[in-house]
Amino acid sequence: MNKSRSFLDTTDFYFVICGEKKTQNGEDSYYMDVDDDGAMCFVFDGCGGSGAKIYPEFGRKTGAFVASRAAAEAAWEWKHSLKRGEAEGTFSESLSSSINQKLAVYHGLVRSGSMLRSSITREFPTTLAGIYLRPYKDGNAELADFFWCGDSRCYILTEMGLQQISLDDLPVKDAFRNLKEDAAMQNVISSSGKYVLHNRKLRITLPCVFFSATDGCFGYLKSPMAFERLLLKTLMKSKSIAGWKELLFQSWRKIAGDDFTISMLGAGFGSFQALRTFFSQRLQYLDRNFPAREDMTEDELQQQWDAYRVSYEELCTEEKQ
Amino acid sequence: MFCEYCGQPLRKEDRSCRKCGRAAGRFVQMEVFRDGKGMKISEDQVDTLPVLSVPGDEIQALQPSQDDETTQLLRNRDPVSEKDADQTINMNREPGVVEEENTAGDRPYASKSTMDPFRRGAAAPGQIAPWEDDERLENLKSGMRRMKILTGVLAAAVIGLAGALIVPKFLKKAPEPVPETAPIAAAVTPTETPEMKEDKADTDQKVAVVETVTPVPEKPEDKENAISGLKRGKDQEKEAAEPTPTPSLIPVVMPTATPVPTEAATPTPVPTQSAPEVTPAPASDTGVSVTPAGQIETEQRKNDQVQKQMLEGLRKNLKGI
Repeated sequence: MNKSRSFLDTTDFYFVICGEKKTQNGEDSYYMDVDDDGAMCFVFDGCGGSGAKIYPEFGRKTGAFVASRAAAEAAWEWKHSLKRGEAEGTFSESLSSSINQKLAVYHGLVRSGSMLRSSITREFPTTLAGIYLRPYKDGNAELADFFWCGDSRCYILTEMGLQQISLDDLPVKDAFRNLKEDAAMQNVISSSGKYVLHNRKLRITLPCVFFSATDGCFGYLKSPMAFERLLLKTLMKSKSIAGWKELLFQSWRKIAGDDFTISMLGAGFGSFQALRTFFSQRLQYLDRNFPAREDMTEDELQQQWDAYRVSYEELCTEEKQ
Repeated sequence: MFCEYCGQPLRKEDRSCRKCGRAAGRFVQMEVFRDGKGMKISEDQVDTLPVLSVPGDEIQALQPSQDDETTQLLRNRDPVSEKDADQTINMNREPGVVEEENTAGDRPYASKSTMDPFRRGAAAPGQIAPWEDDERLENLKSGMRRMKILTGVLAAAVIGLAGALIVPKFLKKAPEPVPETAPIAAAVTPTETPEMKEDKADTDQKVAVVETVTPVPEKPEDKENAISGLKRGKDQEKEAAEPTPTPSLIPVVMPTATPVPTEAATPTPVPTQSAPEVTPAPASDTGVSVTPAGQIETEQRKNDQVQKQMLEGLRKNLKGI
């Protein structure tokens, strides 16, 4: 890692937005950490279906609730093991090892402390989407490692628009079709340890907005175009980063039928005005080429998606370790 | 880096904005499941907890307890002083809340609740209007409107159908024949029996017929109605008189001649019973043909004669009694 410049030199803003469907029982979690060396933007979504089992040992919380928080803590530990130079193997290997260890502790508490001795398959299930950012040499770029497992996603937002980096662990990879189909996830973190943690490394030129998000943020919109439009329109309507956060939160609270969590970091813009100016042109392009109308038919939406996905999926390919 | 509230550029060492005085937002935040035994933690357990919130970029942790199985994995963390621990640990933090640096002294402008706009249920100061262009929300609203209209129409249809089935049965109920043995006094008694009520209804109807006939209507429609009413009145009289020409029926058609049935003499109940006959309907529908005025007069004379005859019959019967 090149430490010739501080990561904070180019960082403009970072924040987390998190909303719960059921108060005090939200199954999303997050871990965000920014310092001179780099940043971590991680989100976790406990799987309410397979993780619906309630554990008296954990304050009568569900396995999904516990899993997302345990994985967040594991990510925190992994980051510090990297700092100390103790992490072994690739990033994905060391991160999944940290998560497995943590989940094993929680699972051990259940086994030793109660009569619940069911199969460990899909116990404490959770998704993960995370970005580990570091400065790239002296240039105006960041080195980014993207991690994901399940249907939470990693994105970047640049002058090219919204680009998905992760690839959903669902039978259908098409982001537009996935909005209509409620398919079961094929790969998810659990205490069984039988999962694949995907990792992709990219060098991203600034300015850029990086973020990871759970499905509550994008899964209740009509299309991926609508997701980008939501991000940009709220930005244009706000007068500060705090205002943007508030607008985003209010929007998701209205439309999301699930917990929603987004962990976002922007770098290379310099000022809020520059950030708005940068994306105002993109929003104009979006409105001109992918206009949103209420009376749009499925065919029209599909046509828009076919055109939009060219840039949206440009970086969204099978990971290359 | 710039201030997330006012956009003022921030230097690396700034912990609060030089323009608006708010915190620089340079913080570390993390959400973890706390000790594996539930979310309620007593104060004496504080020393065993992992760090939850650290100001600035100083990532530190508390020394875990040697006995606590949950915190075995945290032992590599550096311990911090009790003073630092008090500053860093926020015991009351809710899940899903964005944590900010604990620099209350630097922020005289707002309380903690207003600082954190994403705290559940907290209304942000100077709340900005939510994002309003979401097509999904609009579709949901219009769908709800359609559902309400449909429900209303269905309810109206059911009520109408029920009315159409039930109401005519009451209206078209034929007069029940009064037993021959019924004494005349029974018709005069002030206490009403169910039979009497029905008789009273019939009486009202017939009185109404008689009353509508006496003045010759001026309008052609009124003539039609009057004629049809006259004919029906006659038919009813015949039906009532021919099968049982007993004295018990006579007071019914003699409201004006004998002052006995007080209810029949009052004209108020007329509209309810005679209403269907008054409604203007085509002659072809009612089966009544329009007749010239001369014929009406002869019909009237005949009617008067019948009434006189019946009156005489009544007197004879009364004399006989």
